[in-house]
Amino acid sequence: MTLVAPTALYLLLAGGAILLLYFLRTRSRRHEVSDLFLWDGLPSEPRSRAARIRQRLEPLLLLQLLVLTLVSVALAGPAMRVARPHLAGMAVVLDGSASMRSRARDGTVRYELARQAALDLLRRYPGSPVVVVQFSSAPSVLSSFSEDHADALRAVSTSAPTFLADGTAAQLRVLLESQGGAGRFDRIFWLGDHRLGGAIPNLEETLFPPDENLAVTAFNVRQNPDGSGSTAFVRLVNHGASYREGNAKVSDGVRAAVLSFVLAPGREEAYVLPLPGSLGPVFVASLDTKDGFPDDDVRYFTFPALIERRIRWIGEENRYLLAALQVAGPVALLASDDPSAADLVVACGTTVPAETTGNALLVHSGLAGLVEIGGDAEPGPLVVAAPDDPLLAQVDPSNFRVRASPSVALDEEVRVILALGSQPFLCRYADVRRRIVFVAPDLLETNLPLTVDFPLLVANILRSFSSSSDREATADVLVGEPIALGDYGRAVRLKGPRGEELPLPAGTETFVPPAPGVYTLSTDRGTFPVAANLDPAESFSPAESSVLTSPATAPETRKSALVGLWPYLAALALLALLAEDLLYRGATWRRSR
Amino acid sequence: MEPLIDEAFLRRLANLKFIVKGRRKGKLAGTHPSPRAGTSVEFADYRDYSPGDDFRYIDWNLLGRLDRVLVKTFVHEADRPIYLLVDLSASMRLGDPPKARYAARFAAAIAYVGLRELDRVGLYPFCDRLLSAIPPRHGMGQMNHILRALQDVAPAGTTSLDRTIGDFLSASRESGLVFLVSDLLSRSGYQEGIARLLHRGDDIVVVQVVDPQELHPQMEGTFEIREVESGRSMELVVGRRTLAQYERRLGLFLDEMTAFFSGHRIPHFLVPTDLPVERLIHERLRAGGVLQ
Repeated sequence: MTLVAPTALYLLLAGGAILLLYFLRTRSRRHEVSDLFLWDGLPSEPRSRAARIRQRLEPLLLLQLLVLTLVSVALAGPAMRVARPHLAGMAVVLDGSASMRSRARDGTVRYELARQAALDLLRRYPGSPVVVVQFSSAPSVLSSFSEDHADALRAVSTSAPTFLADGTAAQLRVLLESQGGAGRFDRIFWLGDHRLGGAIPNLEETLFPPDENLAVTAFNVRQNPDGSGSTAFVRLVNHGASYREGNAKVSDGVRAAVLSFVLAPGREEAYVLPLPGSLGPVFVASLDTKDGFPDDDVRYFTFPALIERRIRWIGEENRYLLAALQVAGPVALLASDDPSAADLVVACGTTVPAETTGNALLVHSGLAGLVEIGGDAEPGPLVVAAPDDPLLAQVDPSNFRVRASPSVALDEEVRVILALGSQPFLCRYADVRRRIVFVAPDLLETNLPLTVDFPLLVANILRSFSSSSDREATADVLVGEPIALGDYGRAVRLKGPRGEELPLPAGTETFVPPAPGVYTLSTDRGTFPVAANLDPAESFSPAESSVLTSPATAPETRKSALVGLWPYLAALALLALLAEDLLYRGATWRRSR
Repeated sequence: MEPLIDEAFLRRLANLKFIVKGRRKGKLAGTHPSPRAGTSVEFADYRDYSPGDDFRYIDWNLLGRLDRVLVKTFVHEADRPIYLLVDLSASMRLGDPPKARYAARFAAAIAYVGLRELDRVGLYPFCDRLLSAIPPRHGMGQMNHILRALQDVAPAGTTSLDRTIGDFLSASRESGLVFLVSDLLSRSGYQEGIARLLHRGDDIVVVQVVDPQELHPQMEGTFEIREVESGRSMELVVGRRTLAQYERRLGLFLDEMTAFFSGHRIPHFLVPTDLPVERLIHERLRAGGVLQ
């Protein structure tokens, strides 16, 4: 054992002062008697030195000396050298995505389990340099690479899960590179609810399986073409092992539609709910059931109130397509034939001239030199050729049914996203002059307008036409995704889902919603509600048990380290002080009686 | 606060009786023999017939044999008042349990035994004077009065036994059985008062309640010895020798007291408060000829 600051032992000399005070103090205790006549005249006894000391060495004095000794030794910093497991470098990666807010089967929040596991790891490898990362679609370093675990322990203890989506293994690799590279770490501990794809060396994964979960994974509303109200599309999924029943409610704050459902385990169902007389603009879909992840039991939707999209409509009318376009934002149909005046050309059941430039959505239409439409034929089975394409974000194409689809000849540059057997169903094309999205079948020969996925698909298509073409197209705003404030005008004020005022510094161009809900943005053009929802992928986590995978990892070494004993001594001193106080109060109480 | 006596304790008191020495006059019918002739079943004596005597008591056999008209007389059974003089001066609050509490518990037990015996029982708490007295009465209703008075006693004031007994004699005209419950650790004296009680013809039982710490103090060091009744105090360094001297002085005082009481044939019980009241009653008082 060593002492870090042995000079603190000089404090023990104060014990002499305490003893001196005790022996110098003449004190007499009170003793009550019935009558003094038996005591009067009794000779006062001269006491021996031993008797005097025996009397003075009362428990209070001994406890005070003990407290002084313990405090002095604690301040001297006694430390013991012990051998402990050691890693040359370790990374503790906490999954901070929204799914970690859900509860495990024992009722504990999964992030809490991960946090406890992280704290255990930090205590298991004291002195090993560590970086602590909270990982999600927007990862953050909670404590940078350091041997001092105090910061790491504090950061882990105070961290909380976010509402963000999962991050990817590629993101993690980039993050670890910023901390000196993945090779720097003997062990990378992943504490989350899903396996990390991608080859990350020295990775040790601990997974926390979820409890039963019932979720609203998609929610969309479109205004009825005849203006009689709205129609809501809700998709529910049962990520549990048992049948679940309950009620789903869609409300605009005044009117509500309720749907009763029964969902088989692992089953996902889409429902259509009419909302007569309701024009929003804010809608909430919620479940009345209880499960381990209440955050995904509700989704929000608002009608976009962006700058009016000018559309030049060519060919046949299609009210369903027009309604879906209106769901994605205000629409103005142009009478002019001037293609340059339109933001988007929509063609239905016709052929568009080859010189068409800009954005074009071709539905059952051709474009000379790029897409040639033939006669309708029996469609083949639906094939998802490009499942990761942004046009299919949050869209489940398996719900699509097609009765008849034309034969199509495509330019080889056109990318097929969905196909019906060998024939294309949904394609996209882009060059410097134009961006084209092509839907082969006539919509009336499909069930698309009746599905929850159709407005999502149309919204994705419109996003793909936006000027920031490199941005992923999504049907609604996800938590963590930036909202371009400029699209709404000059921002003046922003309120959160509970009506709280959110800071909006001058010059702010984007706002990233940190939690799901309806945000209210006030600009010089008006007030706009903006819905932010959880990434639906967060609703599902593999239901496997807690697993620890240990691929080939660097061996664990042992390293001797000094362990400070002062906390134990301080605790003992505190106890002794408490005992001294209790003893004193007890004696005072007895005397008072 | 804990009740003075519980049901189990009362059950154990049920079979106790006071031992009566001699015959005392009593106002009312009771269970104790009286010097007067009466109408009980116990034969007492014969006397000559006087005009007006009840013919039923003439002994016709003796008239035949002796040719004398004699009338049978019987023992008269009368009650006897029991007086409980309980010291509630400030010194009685010393000890753990306080001496006053112990005295109250004892007095309650004696009251119960007396009332069961169909005697009248009265309570006379005192310090340097009589406090609110409960005159002797029959019946278990009296028990409630006595218990209520003893339940929350608050000892205070100084002791003056002689003066108190004078007051008591003025307040109670009839002699009876007097239980004097006190610590008697006072220089103010008790002999005169006791003598006046004896003079009136009372039977006296003295129960001297003391704290074990008063008999054998366990202390060492410098103490402010404080008289609880007057507040006077003295500083004393107490050691083994001091304590030995104290105990010697106390022994002399108690011996003197014992000699006084035994000289007057007064049962005197020195009772430390760590002796359970039940044992005091069932062992000490029975052995001392007070109860049977």
